[in-house]
Amino acid sequence: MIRKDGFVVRDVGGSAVIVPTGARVLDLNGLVVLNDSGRLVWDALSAERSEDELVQCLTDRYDVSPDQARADVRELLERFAALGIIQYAGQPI
Amino acid sequence: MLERATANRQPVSGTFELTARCNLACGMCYIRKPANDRYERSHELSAAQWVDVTQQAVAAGMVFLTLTGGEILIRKDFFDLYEPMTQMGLVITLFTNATAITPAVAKRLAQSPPSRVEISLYGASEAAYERVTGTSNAYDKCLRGIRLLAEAGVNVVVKSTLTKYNAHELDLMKRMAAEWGVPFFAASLLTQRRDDDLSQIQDFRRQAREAIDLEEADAATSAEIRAALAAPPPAADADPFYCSAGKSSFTIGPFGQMSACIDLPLPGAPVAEIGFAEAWRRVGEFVGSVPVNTSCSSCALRSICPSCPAWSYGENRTLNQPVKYLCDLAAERKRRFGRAEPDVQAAGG
Repeated sequence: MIRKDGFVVRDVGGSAVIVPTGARVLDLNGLVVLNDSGRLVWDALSAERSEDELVQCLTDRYDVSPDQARADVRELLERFAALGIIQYAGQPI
Repeated sequence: MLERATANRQPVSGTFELTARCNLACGMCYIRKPANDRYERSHELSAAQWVDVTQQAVAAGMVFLTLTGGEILIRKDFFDLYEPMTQMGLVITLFTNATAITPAVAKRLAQSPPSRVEISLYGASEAAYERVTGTSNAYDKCLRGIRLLAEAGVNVVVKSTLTKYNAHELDLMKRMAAEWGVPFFAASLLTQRRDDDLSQIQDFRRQAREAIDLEEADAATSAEIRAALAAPPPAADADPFYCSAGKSSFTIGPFGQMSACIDLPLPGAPVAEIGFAEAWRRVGEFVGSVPVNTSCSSCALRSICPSCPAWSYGENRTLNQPVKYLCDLAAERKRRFGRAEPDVQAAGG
């Protein structure tokens, strides 16, 4: 999967938030606040990534078991997908 | 998150007044200049200057941007400045009276939509609308603009400024918004003109008793005021600015003057000349220098009164004096909400 174009990360009082640009406002009218691991995964999704690669991002950075990292990645991806801000290979943009 | 931005003095929230000119002539307006005012038009920041200022503001931390006027859509170059802003990672709100929204404007806005468009509706009939706005043949244009934007999929909120001449149509306006499927809110605190031009505000303002009638009729507002009255008052030496003005929010006027808030045109730092960072520094310096209003800071009603340096400046041209209009409103609130809530069951039985 990969993040869709048209979203940027901004800082509000030290918190990272995803903001839509241009016509993306019609898809996501609001802000998504990212925690540290969410930011790490979102940044990694600037290129096409497999679930395993995203798990690796978290285990490289944090003292966390692979199982816990996988659970965290899946939860994040579910949320991103529900918000319509990532796409899976073969999906329309 | 916003509290941290305020503590960090991140200029997270900006309001840009693109023009003071307007195609309506509302008697209570604090800013309005005629649409054909050449002096105003020739001194307004150009579209390129607004884009440049916005880029600087984004670099300094601005995330939330409100574009207001006057009427923003009477600027022929509106889209020249607006469309680049929509690519900068901003949450943008537009304030408009909607009378200049044609099918072409609605279509173009929908291609780069703001997060929200707040549309001012000044009545639920042509007669009230015309009385408030001093303009004929505008009511239908406003209704058309609202419909066009809503149909184009743009997120619309309808709001009204309540005056002596349209408050009786509040319920009708609420009903219209419900039919359009858009949120509605109304405000009735009218502020004085910021320049020294003649203002008709005394004619348009409603009496304290009438203004508080509305608060009393709204359950959420009533609960809020009762809670404020029950809470311990803020410390007497509290910051004169109880909001984020000059700490995380700012306003830039049509000629590029940066100030602490929309109701307080000070310090008026010339952002196009000195750059955003220096203008923001001067705003912070100004806000830090404002003396506490000792009359208000020791007043028992201050938890239910919005008095602040901006209000004092608007009404008294000083920064730290009580505002009689607000004193009257606060006294009336205390009289209505200060007593214990009626026992509904007993009253109903």
